[in-house]
Amino acid sequence: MRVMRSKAGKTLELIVELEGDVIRRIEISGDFMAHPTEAIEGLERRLRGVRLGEHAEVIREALKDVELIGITVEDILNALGEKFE
Amino acid sequence: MRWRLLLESGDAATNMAIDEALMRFGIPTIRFYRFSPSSVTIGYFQRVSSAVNLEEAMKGGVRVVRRITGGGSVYHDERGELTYSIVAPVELFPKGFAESMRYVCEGVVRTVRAFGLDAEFSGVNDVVVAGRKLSGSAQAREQGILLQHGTIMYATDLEKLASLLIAPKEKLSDKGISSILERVTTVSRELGRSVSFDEVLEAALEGFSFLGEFQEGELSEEEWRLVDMLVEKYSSDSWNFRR
Repeated sequence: MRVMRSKAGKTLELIVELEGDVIRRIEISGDFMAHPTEAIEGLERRLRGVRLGEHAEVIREALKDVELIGITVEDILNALGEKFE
Repeated sequence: MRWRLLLESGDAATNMAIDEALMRFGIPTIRFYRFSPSSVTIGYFQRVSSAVNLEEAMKGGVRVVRRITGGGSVYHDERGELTYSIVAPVELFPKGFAESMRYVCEGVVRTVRAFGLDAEFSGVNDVVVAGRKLSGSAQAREQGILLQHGTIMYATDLEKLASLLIAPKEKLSDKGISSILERVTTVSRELGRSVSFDEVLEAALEGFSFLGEFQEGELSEEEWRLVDMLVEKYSSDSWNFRR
C-alpha cells in the first residue's frame, strides 16, 4: 500500500496487486472528491489486466472528463510510478 | 429564493439516507441536524481501516457509516456537533466545485462569526479559526442536483475524536503538527464557554440566510419511502466496509 499526500493536502492511498507487471487489482482511496463519483470505480475496473507502462494512458483517458478535487491525475500517476512491495 | 427547511435528526444511517433521498428528489432544501447516537462518517472513497480506529469504535459502540460524498472522516458528537446539508439543482449555485463549495461554506463562516470568532474558509473544504479546523464539508452531484453537507463542531469531545479518527502520518507531517488535537477546535473551546446546539442552530439559520428564505417543512411520503430503502444500504457492511 502506498500513501501519498497531494499538493492540496488530501490523502491518496493506492493498493495494487501485480502479477508480473500486469495490474490484477487496484484500489484508489482517500479523502478526495470526484465528480462523477463512479468514475474512480470505473477506473479501477479499467486498470485490471493493464500492463505497467501502459497504465498512464488508461488513467488519463478514464479521467479526462472527471472533476477531481483534492488530488490530480498526476498525483495518481506519481503514486503508481513508484515501486510497490 | 425559497428553501424548504428540515430539522429532522436521526441515527447515522437515517441521516445519510435522508441526505441521499433529498438529492434524488432535488427539492431545494436546507437541513440542520445531529447524529443520535454519536457516530463516525467516512468519505465515499476512503478505506475504512485507514480512516477509523475500528477497535476503538467497536469498544465504544460508535457506528461507522460511509457517505455518498467524498472527503474525510468525521466524528459526529451527539452533544457537540451540528451538521448541515443543502440540496438544489446545480444551476442555483456558482459553477464548478471550488466556487460552489466556497459559496455554501459562507453559511458556516457566518454561523461561526456570529459568536465573535474570526472564522475563514481554508483549503479545499474547511472552515478554520486561528488555523484550527472546526468545520469540513463535502459535495456530490447527481443528475443535475447538488448535495453539500458539512459539520460545525461547537462542543465536540476532541479527545474522543482523536481516538476514533486516524490521521495519516503524511497528513500530519506536511502540516508540521503532531496530533489531531492540535489542528481541530470547537466553538466552545475558542470561546472558553459552553455553547449549546440551540445557540448554534439559531446562528446557522441566520448565517445561511443569505441563500434566501427558509420555510420549515417535512419530507414527503415518497421521500420517506426512499429513506426507508436507503437506511438498509447505510446499515449494511457491504456499503460501509466496501473498501
